[in-house]
Amino acid sequence: MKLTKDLVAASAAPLILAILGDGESYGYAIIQRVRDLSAGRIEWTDGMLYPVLHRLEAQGLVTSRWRESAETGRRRKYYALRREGRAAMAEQKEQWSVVHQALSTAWGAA
Amino acid sequence: MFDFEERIGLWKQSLSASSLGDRPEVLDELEGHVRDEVERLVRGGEAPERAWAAAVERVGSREQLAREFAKVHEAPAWLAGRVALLAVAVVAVLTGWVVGSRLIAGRFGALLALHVFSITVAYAATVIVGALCAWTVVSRAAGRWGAARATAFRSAAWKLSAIGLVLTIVGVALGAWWARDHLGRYWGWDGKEVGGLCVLLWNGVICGALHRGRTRALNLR
Repeated sequence: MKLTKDLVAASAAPLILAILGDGESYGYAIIQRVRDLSAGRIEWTDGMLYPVLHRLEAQGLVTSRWRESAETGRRRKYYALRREGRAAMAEQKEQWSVVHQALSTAWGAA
Repeated sequence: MFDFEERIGLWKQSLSASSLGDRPEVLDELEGHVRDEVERLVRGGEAPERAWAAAVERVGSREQLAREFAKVHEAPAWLAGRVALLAVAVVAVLTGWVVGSRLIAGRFGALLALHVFSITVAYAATVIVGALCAWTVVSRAAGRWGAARATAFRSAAWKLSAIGLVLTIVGVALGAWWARDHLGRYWGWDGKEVGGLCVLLWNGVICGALHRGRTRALNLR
């Protein structure tokens, strides 16, 4: 099963916020994490991830900095949630719960 | 023979020819990703050449990347922040002009001129940070606030407070030096000196708090 483009786009920001909610991370690791979380059913490309990350940064929800990775020694851009990002994550969680609950109830009744 | 570094170089070159070229940071980020992916695939037993092809495909074509990145807009500039920075620049120019002309006329020595300049600009920056904070409170009350503005506010407050802190340190130090030559002592706890020290400490506290906020956001120790 493949998710529709619209659904992938809509869920991108909440997923990124949720992953960064566990601690700072970088682009490649975020894509891996999304793959794991969805058991391989959500496959993001860089072309999709980085623009969303940069937009979240422009909105002041996440912050970033270049740092050398301890394992590889290569420089990586790490992203982390700002306080505003944490608030946005809570808000997203609430909204998606409403949708989830409504759909569950509707499908349960059908 | 498959030369990974050469491929990376050519690939980055082809990307920089697109509209991504004016964002070297993005190219570095994408490069890191390709390296990570190739490493993972090769570790999994894939031949380097095939790993390379798969990694580049996963990142997306030049056109795709350029199209997606074109949708990202930089945060709109915050007018109040710009005005605040401009105001400090204006004070610096005016003070420089007044102090400079006195220096040339021989009414100020170099030490006193530098002291007056640093202290005036430092105090102006400190007062302007205060004004910016007051404006922020009004904006928030009026509901015209958001995460992007908060970021712009932090950035402007940081720049102004850093200017305030550095110039107060310079000004106080030069003042003490001047006092040694003219009053026979470095420090005498008079009103001006205590005032300078208070401003210095205040800017230090603000800079420290802003720095701490950023460090916390990044989960750094």
